[in-house]
Amino acid sequence: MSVVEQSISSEALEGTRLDRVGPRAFALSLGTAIIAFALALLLGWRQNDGMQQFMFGYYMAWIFFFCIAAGSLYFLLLHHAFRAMWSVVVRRLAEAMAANLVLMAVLLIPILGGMHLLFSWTSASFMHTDKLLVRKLSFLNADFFTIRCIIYFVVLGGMAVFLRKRSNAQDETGSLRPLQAMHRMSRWSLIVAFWVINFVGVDFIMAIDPKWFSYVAPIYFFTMVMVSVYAALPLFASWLQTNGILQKQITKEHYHDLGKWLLAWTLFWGYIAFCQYVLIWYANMPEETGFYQRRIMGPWGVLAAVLLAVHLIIPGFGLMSRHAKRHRGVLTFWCGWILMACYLDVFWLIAPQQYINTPLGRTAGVMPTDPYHFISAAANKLLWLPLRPVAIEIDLLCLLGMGGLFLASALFMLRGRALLPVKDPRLAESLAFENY
Amino acid sequence: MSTTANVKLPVDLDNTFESVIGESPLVTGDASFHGVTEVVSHVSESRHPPKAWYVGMAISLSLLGLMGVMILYELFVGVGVWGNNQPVSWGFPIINFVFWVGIAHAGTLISAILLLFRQKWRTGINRFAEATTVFAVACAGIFPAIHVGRPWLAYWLAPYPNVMRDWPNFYSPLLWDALAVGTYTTVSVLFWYTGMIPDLATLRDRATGRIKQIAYGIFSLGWRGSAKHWALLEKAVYLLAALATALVLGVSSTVSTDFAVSEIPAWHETIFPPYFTGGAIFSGFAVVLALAIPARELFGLKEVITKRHIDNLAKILLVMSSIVLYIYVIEYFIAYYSGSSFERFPYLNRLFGPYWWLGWGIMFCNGVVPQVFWFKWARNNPWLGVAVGILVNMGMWMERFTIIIISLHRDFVPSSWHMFVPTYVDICTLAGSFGLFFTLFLLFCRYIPMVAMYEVKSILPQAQVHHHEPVAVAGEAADASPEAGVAGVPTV
Repeated sequence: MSVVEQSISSEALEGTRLDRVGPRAFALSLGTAIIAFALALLLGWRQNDGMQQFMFGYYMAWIFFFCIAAGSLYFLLLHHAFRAMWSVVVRRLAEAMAANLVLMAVLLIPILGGMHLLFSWTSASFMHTDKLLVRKLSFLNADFFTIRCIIYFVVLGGMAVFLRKRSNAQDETGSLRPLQAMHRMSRWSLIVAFWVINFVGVDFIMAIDPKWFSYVAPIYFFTMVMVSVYAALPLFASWLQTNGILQKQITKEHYHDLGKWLLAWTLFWGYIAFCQYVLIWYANMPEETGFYQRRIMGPWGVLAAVLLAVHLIIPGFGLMSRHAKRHRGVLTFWCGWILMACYLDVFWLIAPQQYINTPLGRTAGVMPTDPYHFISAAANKLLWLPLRPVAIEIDLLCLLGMGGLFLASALFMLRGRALLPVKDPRLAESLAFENY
Repeated sequence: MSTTANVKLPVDLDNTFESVIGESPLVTGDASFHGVTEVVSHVSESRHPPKAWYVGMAISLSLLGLMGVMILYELFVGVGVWGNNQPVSWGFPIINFVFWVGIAHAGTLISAILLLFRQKWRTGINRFAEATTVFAVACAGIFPAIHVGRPWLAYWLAPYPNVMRDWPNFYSPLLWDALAVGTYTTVSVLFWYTGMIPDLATLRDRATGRIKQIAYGIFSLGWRGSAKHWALLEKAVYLLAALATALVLGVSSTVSTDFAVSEIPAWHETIFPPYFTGGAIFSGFAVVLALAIPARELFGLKEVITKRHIDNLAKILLVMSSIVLYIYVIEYFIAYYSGSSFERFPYLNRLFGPYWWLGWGIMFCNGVVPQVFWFKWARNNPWLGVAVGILVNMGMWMERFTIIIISLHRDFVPSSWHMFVPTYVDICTLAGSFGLFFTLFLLFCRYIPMVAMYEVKSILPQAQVHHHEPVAVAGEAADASPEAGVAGVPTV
């Protein structure tokens, strides 16, 4: 048995368990989830629309939290494949969030059940209205979609479970072998997971508008995933530290590096979003511009401008300084801000589609065709009202409910374990890590 | 774990081993400060370069001369001397332009992005890679200039107040191109030169002949190595690195818009900007790999460009190849997914049309061949590295041919379809551009410190300050892992 001896003082390992905080927070988040979902279901039922409003809210919340879970998995794969040292102290937290992919797989079941409410490609009559759409039926059909979903979650979930198990084994035995196994697995998994996440993007983002296609849309989704995790991870760490956990171990040096990655991915998101938009705008081809037309006209255009500001310009400058990345409070603020922007992104991509999904005929009224209509619309109503007249609270309740489940599950994964990989041979180095 | 300055390691030490607990040395042989200076300065201080240098120079200069003749011929006769036709109105010059701009990306990536990632191994090859950047940009710049037909009017691209009150079209990607490549040239030359100043000063101080003293003296700008000089240098290099990082993404993205803003299927793709950037980095690294291996053999630089450097370059090539392969496959997928016959046709034409061998060839050269680097034996075999580097560059040139020619030669109207056949002028100009590149490169090898000496010294163990005690490994770990074979080698 190979054993690693480290010169880590026992003092350095103080406060690395959830202890009393865990069960309390678990109960609270689970309770919140139950109440939020119950309320959302009730309000959804009162909409009297066959639960479509609820499903859209649920779907957007699911995508948002899937991004965090899949991003955590990718963070771990990068960590292992590059033998990173600095990120050892947050490895366990990422493992817990990545293991939530199993939860996301369970939470996918209602989406599979209600896909006729979400995806207009499930309607054969709709698909036969257009020659381009008919040709897509070989890919966009319910059976194949379900099979793809199963493949996605077997692959991603399998990777997350493997990493969690190996990591546990290392804690117990102190052997180097589990770590080496994770290193070996991460090399090829980086590529496989990249492909899978990209195809999740095709299915869950691009196919929401069945006519639309964009060659870079899968990568756009991948950047959403990466931005999410680099915002969620410091936020999670910071929340634990506020509760007296990992206070000595995660230092401003670690936050600094996480902040740098957050900035980098935020800017990269801007780059990809700009590439996609400007090329489609420039060529002005009908099968492509329809997607954006529905998202930049009317009140949605206001949201598009807001998104540009809150997802790129404001945090881009906000995170630029060293000070912002090295101070927990400031960084936490920006992480929360960017997570909010990530949800706004999901909302902007998905929600407009509800009004052009033909099966339930909810196209009426809300989509002004006149590009200048939004001025009067904005003058008449507050920003949110014209977007989704009554349902914004259902979306927010779904988000809250899904968040509660996500946190509860992450805490459940961490129960009774050290929140640091105590036998990782690079832990000592990571604890003492300093940016120059 | 510190080591003394006079530790001597075998020059051919296999420092590619991977350990979960530490790093292997990045400089072998006489890993002292003075040892590094000796190894690198030796190249430009020796009385005569190796014979191969003369042979290479003779060939390169001949090709350069050929290029000069071809360009003059084209200027006197007109662009009709090329194989361009309708519908293939963009022929070899644009292929060559994109090809050379792509190669120009490795230097900036290694210097700027790997610098930000604190990848210490980059110090062995960054000067070298930056040089390929500068020379490749020089090659790239020639082609759009001659392609405009009347290069003496190329300044019309620049927005300047003029009596005709005529402004360039700011919506035109050709203008964006000129601005992007111009900015890139400026920043990469500045970056290369700024980082070189302390090393030029070293050569100046060691020079024995008067001419050398004066020449290196002028270019080292009065560098004395004071603390203030170093502080200023660091500041300048980091600022330029930050600018260059944005440029790595920006330049190839801009070049890609030449194609992507159009409505031509297989050109108009939203993935083009990251696609061109990925391809550019890929080809740039392939060139660095293919040149670094012969250079370290020829000029005795094995101590500073070690097996680990080659190993790392091979790994990056593998990653980039996987990204490029992803893009190739996703292009086919989305073309299928679009349901549009116009989107699907160029891809079917690539695989089964008259240029089918190019469609499959780029998959093979760029997507399949570098996958051999999954295996350690392949990464450790330098000559295989050269072969892969060359194949990848052939593949990347073919890729640009595929994108430009194959997408154009069968347009929307079948009656206007036309094959493209390059003329001898096309081929000789392309060969000549290699002449220009290698002439500059060989001059660089001979007269400029090929490796950033002061940067290599900064990563030597004796230059490191340690804040904490290292980790000790006991038991089976050391036996089971490859590092057992080099016990006693400093690992931090």
